[in-house]
Amino acid sequence: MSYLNNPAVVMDNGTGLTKLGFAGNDSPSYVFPTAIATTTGKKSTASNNRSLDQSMSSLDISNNTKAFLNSNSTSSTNFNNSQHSSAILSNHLSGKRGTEDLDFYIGNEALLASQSQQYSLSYPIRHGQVENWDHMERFWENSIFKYLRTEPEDHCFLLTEPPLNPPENREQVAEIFFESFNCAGLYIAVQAVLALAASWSSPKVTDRSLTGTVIDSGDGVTHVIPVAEGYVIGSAIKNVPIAGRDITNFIQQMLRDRGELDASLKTAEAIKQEFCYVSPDLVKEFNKYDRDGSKFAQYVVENQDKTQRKLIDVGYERFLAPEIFFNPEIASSDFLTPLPSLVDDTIRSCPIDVRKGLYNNIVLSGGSTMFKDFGRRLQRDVKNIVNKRIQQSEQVSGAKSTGVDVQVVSHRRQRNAVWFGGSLLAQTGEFKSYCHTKADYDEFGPEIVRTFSLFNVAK
Amino acid sequence: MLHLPNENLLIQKTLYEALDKFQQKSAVIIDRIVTDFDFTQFHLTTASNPTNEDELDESKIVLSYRSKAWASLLKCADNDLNLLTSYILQRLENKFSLAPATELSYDISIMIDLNDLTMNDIVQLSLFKIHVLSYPFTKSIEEFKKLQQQAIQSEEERIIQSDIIYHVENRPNQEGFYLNASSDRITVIFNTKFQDYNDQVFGKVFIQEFIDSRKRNRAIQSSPQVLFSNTPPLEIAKVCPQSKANKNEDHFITFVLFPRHFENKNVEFLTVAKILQFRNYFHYHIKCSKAYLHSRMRFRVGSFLKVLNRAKIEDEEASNVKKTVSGKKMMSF
Amino acid sequence: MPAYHSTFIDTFNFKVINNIPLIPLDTNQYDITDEVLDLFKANTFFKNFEFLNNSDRLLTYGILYINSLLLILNPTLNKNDATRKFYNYAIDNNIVPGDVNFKLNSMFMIQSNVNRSDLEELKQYLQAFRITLANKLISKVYTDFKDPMVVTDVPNKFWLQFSKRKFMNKSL
Repeated sequence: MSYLNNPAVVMDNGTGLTKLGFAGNDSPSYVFPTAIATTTGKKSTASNNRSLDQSMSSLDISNNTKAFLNSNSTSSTNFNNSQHSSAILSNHLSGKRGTEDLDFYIGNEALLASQSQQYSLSYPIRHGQVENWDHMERFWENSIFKYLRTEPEDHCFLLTEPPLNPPENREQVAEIFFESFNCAGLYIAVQAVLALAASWSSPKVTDRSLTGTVIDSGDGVTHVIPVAEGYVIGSAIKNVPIAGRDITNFIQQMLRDRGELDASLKTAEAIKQEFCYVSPDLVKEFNKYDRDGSKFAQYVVENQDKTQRKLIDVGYERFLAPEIFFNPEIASSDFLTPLPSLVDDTIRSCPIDVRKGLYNNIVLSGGSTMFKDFGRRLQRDVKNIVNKRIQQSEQVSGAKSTGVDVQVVSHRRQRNAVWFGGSLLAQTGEFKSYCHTKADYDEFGPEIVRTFSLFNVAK
Repeated sequence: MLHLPNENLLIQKTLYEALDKFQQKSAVIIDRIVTDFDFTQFHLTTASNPTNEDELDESKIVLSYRSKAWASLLKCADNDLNLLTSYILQRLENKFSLAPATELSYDISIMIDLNDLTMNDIVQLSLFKIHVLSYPFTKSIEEFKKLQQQAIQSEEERIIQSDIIYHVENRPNQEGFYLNASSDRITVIFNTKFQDYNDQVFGKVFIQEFIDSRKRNRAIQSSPQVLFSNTPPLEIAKVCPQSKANKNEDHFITFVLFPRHFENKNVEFLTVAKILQFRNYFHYHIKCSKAYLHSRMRFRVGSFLKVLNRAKIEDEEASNVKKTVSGKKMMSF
Repeated sequence: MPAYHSTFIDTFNFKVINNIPLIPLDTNQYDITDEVLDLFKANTFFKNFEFLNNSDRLLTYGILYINSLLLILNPTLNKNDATRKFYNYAIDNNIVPGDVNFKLNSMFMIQSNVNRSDLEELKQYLQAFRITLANKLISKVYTDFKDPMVVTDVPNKFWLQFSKRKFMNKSL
């Protein structure tokens, strides 16, 4: 029966991006926006329809390389071929009821389709939680069949949810996955817990514990989430309104201040990805640049046909942009708490008996924590805060403290840590036994998914 | 509408990215699992150096394939592995060779050289599954041509039916398809089962629509004829014993392919690709209809909730509070 | 890590006029003007700054002064013209903390009863401070950012960009 050992499907649907893939891989197979373009219901004229198809396929031809990398699908996707659909529409069953519900795109194709009047774009997930179940169901449907090419009956699924997701939402997910898709098995894991599991791949981690503080920074928000023995301490979660997008904006502002030839968001984004790092000290870093010109970098912007090149000089933004995590006031005027203090605050609002474990295992997750030396700086700053406080209390009480060990764990899979953690857990032999099956669901109903047994964390 | 491409997009994407990185002289090491419908799994890995096992050769990728259908495909090829593998390589225009060793627990491994990999090759490789499964179709078409000649030569006007029935079992529980050639047609019979009772009902509606719409709609008259039954059709009756336990469980769907469906290589390929994806399509559409029903149900629940909210008994004192249609409160001062 | 403070802490009993310490300007070693230039880039990004001592006030004055100098520059202004303009600006606008026209008197917490001779002394000190600062700035700004040893005749854009920022959202 070795053929029945199909790999589990791991899906991490985030507010901005969805990561899809199979357990056992080290990175998701698809990363694309959690967006869906649905038809606006306007009766599409044939010419309209064709122009979209043309624009899609022309993009594929003229810019074949880009299309391959950027779009989640690859070849031309003219499935709205007007002649076809009209032929099918003429038969009586679909004539009675429109087939608008079948006319949609997801991911990068959705972004492309929404450029025409005919489709409207929406993001079914807001603030980590599913807002529009109709759209989400169709999003899943398309991801599973079109992109992953899997029959859900043959696979187990690992889905993720944000902390503090209401149990009703879980039940909704179960309803969709068991009733619509008949999936073989379902496990829903909390994102922060998966991020902790992903850190086990780091050589720094010696005991595979599910206690730690997760710093999850994506594009919109940064969360600080304490987890004790696999359970999120919901009351202590803190958010920072500073994340990837703010860094990009800051870089863009710097480029504009300097009057660089190209200061588009796209360029700023690319500079962020390629050149930014975290410095230990601003003044020293500025001096390094002023003494040594080699610190400055250059970014080349090419137009589509590669006929024109613009050279963009990259300077202080390399270390200043990520600095906004540690000194928010350089970019924002309404949020002033540095990330290290917020981490300290979060941990101090947790029960006293888990605090050591939380300081000891601060785990990074998400694209905006990928800057070089981010972890090192965070560790130093948190350590300074903690040591200062210990010193004060030692002076006041006169007793010697045993000290607190602060450790920030960063690892290679940080960017898609949540997905990777899911992939790690779902490839274990025991994963299937942790899943709820269709038979369980039929017997007990949707409330079975309110609880999932935690993964065995034995060493 | 709900189009499932023939190509495996993920193989395409993986190979393209590998090629792109390789051409930019920053080759990456690849180790990816990719799946396809019907218990098909691919494994793309960077090949190891032939002279030194521990080193990797970044210019070569091994593509390994396994599927549930392999055993029955071998049977179709009279258990001759060489016959089957050379067929597959030939389908890929003989551009690829077998890997020195087939990867453990996989059925076939082929070697891809990034130094001369073209865009067309990538597309062909992403159709690997179809190429493999097209084997019994090619055999049947050969058979058909032979029988056709025989029929022309023989004086009597009678249809000669082949004794050979190709059976491909690509899913557990005897689900799969049968191929039988005769002198004027090729019959493809799918045996499909539904795990879920609801799916069975949906399935019936769909199949009926399949049969009916062909009759109704002139534009699609050239498509293959579709028949449906709960008992094995006569063509395969002797090789497919009917399961006695549950008569409703088995669904036999028959497609009749006429010469126009494989008149040239292009049409033939499309026919084979579409037929091979039939079961996936079928189940996909059932799932989509359920999703549609779900969204109607959610809408209904929403409108019932509105009614219920309006029916709530008001407090005496809050008589100046009126409710909107959606049940929200509206204050008047 | 908040904004950076001055290291010329007032332990030498500098003469202080209007909360500004007259820290000696020494061309031979690292003095307060060098510090101003060092901290300028980092501190410009901060909107909050707490005066820990009077040296921080002089530092602030210096940083804000550099900012107003950068506003004089433009990408086509050559070195000679810039030097002349800077010099004139340093001489002409001799408004110091305590003057009625000084915009930031409240921030510097100036008492109103200052005697005239002290004010005159402060003016002289700050004039020298400004000229030193302007000269040092010129030699830094008119270099190639890729190689600080190479002198150019157009201002370095990595200095010019700071004219768009305001330390503590203030200007002189």
